[in-house]
Amino acid sequence: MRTIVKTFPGVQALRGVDFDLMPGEIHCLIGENGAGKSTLMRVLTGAQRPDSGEIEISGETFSGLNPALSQKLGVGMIYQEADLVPALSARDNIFLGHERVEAGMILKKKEMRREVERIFGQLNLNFPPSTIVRDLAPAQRQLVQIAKSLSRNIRILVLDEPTAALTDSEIGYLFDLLNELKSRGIGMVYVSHRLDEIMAIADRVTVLRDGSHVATQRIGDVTKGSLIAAMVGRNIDAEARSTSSKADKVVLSVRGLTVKGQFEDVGFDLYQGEVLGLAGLIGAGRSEVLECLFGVTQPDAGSISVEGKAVKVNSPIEAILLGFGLVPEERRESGLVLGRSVAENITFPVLDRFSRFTFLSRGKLVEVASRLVSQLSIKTPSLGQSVRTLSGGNQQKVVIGKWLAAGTRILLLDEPTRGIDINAKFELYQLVRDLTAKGMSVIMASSEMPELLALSDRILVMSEGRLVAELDAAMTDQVEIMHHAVAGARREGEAA
Amino acid sequence: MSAGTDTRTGMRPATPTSALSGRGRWRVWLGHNDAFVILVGFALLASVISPAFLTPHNLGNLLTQSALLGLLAIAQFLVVVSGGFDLSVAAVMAFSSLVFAHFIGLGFVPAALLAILAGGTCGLFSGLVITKGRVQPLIATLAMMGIARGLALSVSEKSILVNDPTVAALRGFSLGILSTPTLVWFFVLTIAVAWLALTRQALHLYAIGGNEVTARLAGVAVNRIKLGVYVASGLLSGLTGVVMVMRSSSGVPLGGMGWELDTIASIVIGGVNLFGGEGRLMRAMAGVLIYQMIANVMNLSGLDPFYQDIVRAGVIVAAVGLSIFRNRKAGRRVIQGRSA
Repeated sequence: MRTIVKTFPGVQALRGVDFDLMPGEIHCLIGENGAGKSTLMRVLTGAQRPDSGEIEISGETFSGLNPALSQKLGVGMIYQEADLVPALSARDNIFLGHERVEAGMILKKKEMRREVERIFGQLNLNFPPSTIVRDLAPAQRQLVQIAKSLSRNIRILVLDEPTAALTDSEIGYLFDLLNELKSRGIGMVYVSHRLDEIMAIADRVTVLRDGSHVATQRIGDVTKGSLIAAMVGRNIDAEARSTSSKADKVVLSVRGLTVKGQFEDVGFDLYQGEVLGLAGLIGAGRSEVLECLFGVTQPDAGSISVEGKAVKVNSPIEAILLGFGLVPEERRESGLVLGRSVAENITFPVLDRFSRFTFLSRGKLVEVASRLVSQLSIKTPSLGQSVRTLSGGNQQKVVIGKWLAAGTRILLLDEPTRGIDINAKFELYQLVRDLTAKGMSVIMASSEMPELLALSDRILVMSEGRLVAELDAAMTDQVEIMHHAVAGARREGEAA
Repeated sequence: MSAGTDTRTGMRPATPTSALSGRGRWRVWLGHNDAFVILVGFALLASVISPAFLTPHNLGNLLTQSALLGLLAIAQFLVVVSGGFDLSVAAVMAFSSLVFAHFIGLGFVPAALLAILAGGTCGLFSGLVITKGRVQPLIATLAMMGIARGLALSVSEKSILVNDPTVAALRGFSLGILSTPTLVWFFVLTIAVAWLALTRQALHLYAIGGNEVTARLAGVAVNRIKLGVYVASGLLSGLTGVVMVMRSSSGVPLGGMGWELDTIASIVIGGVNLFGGEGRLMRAMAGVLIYQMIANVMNLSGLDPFYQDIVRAGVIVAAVGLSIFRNRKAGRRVIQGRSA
């Protein structure tokens, strides 16, 4: 793959990346969240077309692929989240899209049954192939995916975090299998966060950062330390942080918070005027913690107290009354009513304050909205402008403005600068600082480490649903955060 | 539930079920066959209430009454399994019955073929709007429902009586208790069951309804299958229009008002997942019979038609509610599995 470029609205996901793979080689691909690993692989499997660049497979050159063509060329992919049809049996999933048929349509069931038996034997799977995928455990689903790839004549196999749902013994098993495939001349791209696994299985390793190629090296020439340094080694361009406005007063206190299957035993204090950063890899449970605080999900265990009083947050409405405000990761989907005006979006949570006998008082509504629009310097032609037409940064300000109108004291930010251009980012940083100076407390989950380091007072690192470290933002750096986030991601020998 | 039934063929995997305790196995079995159990229970209840129920004559009547709805329900079944809806089935049936009545002068076979083709054209149109135009199935087929009903009324505002010896003969024909409509229904049903069990396209239909993205990434020709299913639904609705004429000897522009919802309700009673990807045709047909029996019993007991509408609406809400409930339970299981 040569000079692959892929741009999404507002973000350049890949900026001219080169990548090559030899037959019978395991080539690991690593990088932080959003470095472009998945996008690059999606280009290879034809799920996405690159804007420019070319792909060469066994001597043939393409400017872009589609899933059917990619499969014909022998590219197989195993996705992070088992990509199967849950209502169909394992066997039907394995042959989906390349069933053995006669007369163009009649399924050759016997032949497929034999073939599946053979593959299951090869993989040592101990459940009947007719089992419905929904009834399988996550690890079994992962193995079905591998079986699915093996049932095709593959030359290239892409594995995206294949061990996320596997236990130690299953991982050992998978590695034996990969080595076996390697000896058959199949080239494999192995995408993972788990450096230990990479050191164990890789022949070569390529590091991506911010959509660019950083380095490709033989595994013998690298150490875990050098890989981490290569992953995070960008210039820390955020300006020095302003003086903290953190006070001694604890606003929010969380103890032993657990939502089964999402995160466990999370506990921390949040001080008035503080920005508490939440770091971690994708799937570490950051968003889930914020959602639980906001009453979207109910904790299975643990306690939350706001300003010393124990509370139960049963719904977002109760959370808002307690002074919480959530700026969600998917602001277009869950933060805004896109078709409505700026004024309406900002005053959405507090509409009942402007209404008498359910009739809205437009005058008051506009007054509050225009005050916030100028306070947050939201760039909009008018208050009546539909939010859909605003830029990402301004949309995000509208979401924040909404919570200011509602009198929020604890602001929960989930990836607040995703998909926002650099200037808008700095405006948002300034906004957060202004707000904390006025006594607002903020919890910010972010995958952008410079952002966490520049804005936070303290940084909590999560890994696999647990808090693994609490760091003073002024005393730490990206390498240390990454060490905790990755180190925790190693298995604890416990079944999935 | 540790054991699943093959959603297509109804075959159960050999080992896991037998590993369950007697009670667990019974529960799994019931979960897969509740529609049949309800059907038998209903029939027993009805025969106790009214001795006239279990007579060959009444059973034959019940089947004949169910045949039109049953045929449309097969069309609806295919579309719903693919993850869509077809609200136009009943209107297309009415339109096709008028096409048949209008062209009966050309002879029985040409008129029937034209009528079926008219239905297929309607389906093709919906399918193109949905696949190429990316319009939601609900909206596209709602539009087609209006178009077909309007076309039917433009051919004739009143029913057209069909005076044709073949139609008259077919109307009088029966094989034991099986009338012509019942025979057509069973014939189509047999083909559909075989197609669902044997072909690759049927497997793709389930895959698309279950997870369209996965199906596309696996190289399934998603749009072609979807287009095909709406055409099939149109052809089947057209055929049903012809059968309707065999039953009533006339083309009826206002025939089957509201049946599109009746088809959805009956297949949901028959355990079909309203959101696609899951369902067994035979079970869906049991749903049709249950639905028809409710109507039958209400008629026999002389319930006011307005109240009948209310009861029917109640049954639809209950059936859809049940489907959503089932789906949510299944969804939760998947989510738990994933993040564990």
